[in-house]
Amino acid sequence: MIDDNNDKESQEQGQTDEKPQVYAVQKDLGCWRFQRRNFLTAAVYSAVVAAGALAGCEAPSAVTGTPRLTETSTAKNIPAPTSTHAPTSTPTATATATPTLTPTKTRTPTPTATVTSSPTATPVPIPQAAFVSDVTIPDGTVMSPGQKFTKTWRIKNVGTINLGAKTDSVFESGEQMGGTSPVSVGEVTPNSTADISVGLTAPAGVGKHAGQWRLRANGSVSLIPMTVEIFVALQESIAPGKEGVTIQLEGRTMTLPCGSPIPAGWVCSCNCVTAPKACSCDRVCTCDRVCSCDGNCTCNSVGHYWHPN
Amino acid sequence: MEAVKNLFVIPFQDKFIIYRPLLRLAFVGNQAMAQLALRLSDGETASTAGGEAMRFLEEIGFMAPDQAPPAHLDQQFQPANAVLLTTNQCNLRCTYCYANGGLGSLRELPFDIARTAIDYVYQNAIDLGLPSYSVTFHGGGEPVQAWSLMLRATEYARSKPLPCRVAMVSNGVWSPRQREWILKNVDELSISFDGMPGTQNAQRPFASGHGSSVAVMKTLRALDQAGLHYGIRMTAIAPWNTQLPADVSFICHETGCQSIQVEPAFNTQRGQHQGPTEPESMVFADAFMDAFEIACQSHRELVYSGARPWLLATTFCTAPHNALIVNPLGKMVGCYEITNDAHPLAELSTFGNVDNSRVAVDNARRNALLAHLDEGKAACHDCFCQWHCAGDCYTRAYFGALNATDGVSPRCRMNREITARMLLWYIAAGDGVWHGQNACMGEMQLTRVF
Repeated sequence: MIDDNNDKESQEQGQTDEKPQVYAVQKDLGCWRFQRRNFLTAAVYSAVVAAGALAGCEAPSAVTGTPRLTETSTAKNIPAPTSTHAPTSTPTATATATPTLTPTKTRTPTPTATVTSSPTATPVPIPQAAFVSDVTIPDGTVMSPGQKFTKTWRIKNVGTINLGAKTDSVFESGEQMGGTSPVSVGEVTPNSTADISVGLTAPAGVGKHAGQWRLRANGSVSLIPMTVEIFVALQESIAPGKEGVTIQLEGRTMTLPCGSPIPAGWVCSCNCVTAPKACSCDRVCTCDRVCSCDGNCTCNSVGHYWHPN
Repeated sequence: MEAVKNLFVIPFQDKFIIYRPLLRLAFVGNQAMAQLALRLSDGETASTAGGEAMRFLEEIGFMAPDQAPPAHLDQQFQPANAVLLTTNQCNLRCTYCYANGGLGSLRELPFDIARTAIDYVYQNAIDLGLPSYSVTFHGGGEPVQAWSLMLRATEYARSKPLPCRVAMVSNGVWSPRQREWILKNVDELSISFDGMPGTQNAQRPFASGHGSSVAVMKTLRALDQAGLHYGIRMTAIAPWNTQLPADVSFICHETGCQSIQVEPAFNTQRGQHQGPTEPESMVFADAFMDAFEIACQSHRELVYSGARPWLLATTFCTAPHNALIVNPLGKMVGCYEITNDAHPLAELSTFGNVDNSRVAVDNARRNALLAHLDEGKAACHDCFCQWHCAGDCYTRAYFGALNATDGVSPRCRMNREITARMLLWYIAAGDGVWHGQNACMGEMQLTRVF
């Protein structure tokens, strides 16, 4: 049994294959998207897009979740197109056995569906969202190890259709920091905003920590990434003779390991000279984000820095 | 009308990248467009193809004849570049180091051999009427570890009447005295550096185990402050998908380096060589493209040597053709990575010796190496990357082929995947048609070779 949508898609696919078409290419939200173009305008590079024929992302591969080349056998033909019409992550056929990417120069057209209807296609709306702001915990917030906090992002539905009731935010990469995933977002109507909050805990290790979450429409269509980035620092001074970076802001003094990026706005001083250890080198650094004791430090003038062993 | 030659139809998702590499032209079409292009390549004339599609093809220049393919490099060996693999000593213990640098008994290139090599390339430059010649200090260990040799060799090369360009590949751990000398005397510089402090410290620690990030960042800042145009050579190991984009982002934000080359490493132990598995190759391809976009947004160039759609070449690397590469044993080799006889391709790659007084080229062995390179390209005639990776790096392809399951190695698939996606990127940046422009860096760099 063939449902109406699939039948419509196959018919439109058939139309597409019946006549040569060219496409504008766009990288959007990690997906390659193709928009059919009017020949004459395409030839002079204007961006007039023919109605419809918006092909969405192919289903993510099992390996990495990223669309890739359609792998073909070495048979002397052009492989049949595999995508669906709608830009959702509808699974599509992908090659399995002994794939190669060898292109072929020999033409043996693959049989395709033929259609007789007029080639007028209807644009298919897609869910779209945009990041608005960090409501809490802006990137670079300095925290103590183990500190609990709530990260809230504000997003906006910038598309023309609702983000459905199953819309959620899911942890994607980096450090999860104890956050529960997925986090339900619920329905978001066009042009309205929603705040998405997740309870997190700063890791024990000092330094920069970051995690990426992703908004998903209806729990399946990947939309925008949302990041959380904090610095974990110790509320103590560097012990004499120990390496480390002291950072200060508005009366707070904390420490980070040598080589750590410096949170924006903080003033740092450091003792980060790697050799010789006996040399004392506490001094104010240039603070150009990575504290490295640049300048006139005399510790490096000993001359065996390049031959430590 | 002349038939369209050298055409490739590359399936991507449900569309096709229609690509004429020698014309530096690419666009995306549907199956019918791909079929039309292929019919034209088979000799069908425009009059029978007809229609708007044909007008489109004519207007974008698709019907033009191919430009001449790049010329084959001269088989005669007359290099004007001496590459000195000066030492196996190193102050770092990079976790992926193929040469296992820093360990084992000291091997350092004697100055007399370096001098012979310099004399040889200098005379070639004179004979060829070149305006300059070059000396490069390169790998197997850290060139700065053979500091005296570097100073002496540079001084000797610069004492000759013809200008000498001095190039160097280094890990960037320098003393202030060395830094001062290098800034003053080195013309071309590539720093091996892997990115964020966590990455650099973990992958490129000192022999003591301490991280090297701070030391190398200091060098990079000095280079930036001096206004030098240096390159960064990254090695990327798993997990690529999370690490590589972040490391490239760090380099873009924290350094002024305009040109970053990244190569993946798949070996899990020092001193080993290993190619990618199929899943690894695809993960790297994804990660590279993510990093590529980050670099583009920062107006930096990110290059992986196996995927170079901006380059038309008949050889992956000019090293076997026009460089005199001499390792600490005095052996002439065809690859920078053949630093000693332990390399599995050492015998194939060695085609002569340099001693205190002369360079002895074994032409039979050199011809055998070049024949090996040609054999490697035999399977490329139907591949759209044939003018770009040009048969790939013969040493890396050797290890990559060990994982091949059906005649095509995962490395080859990785190169094709990245090349195709770079083409898509260029097509997108060209508003639907790529005419050879580099979307990130302005003018194409047609002469770049590795």
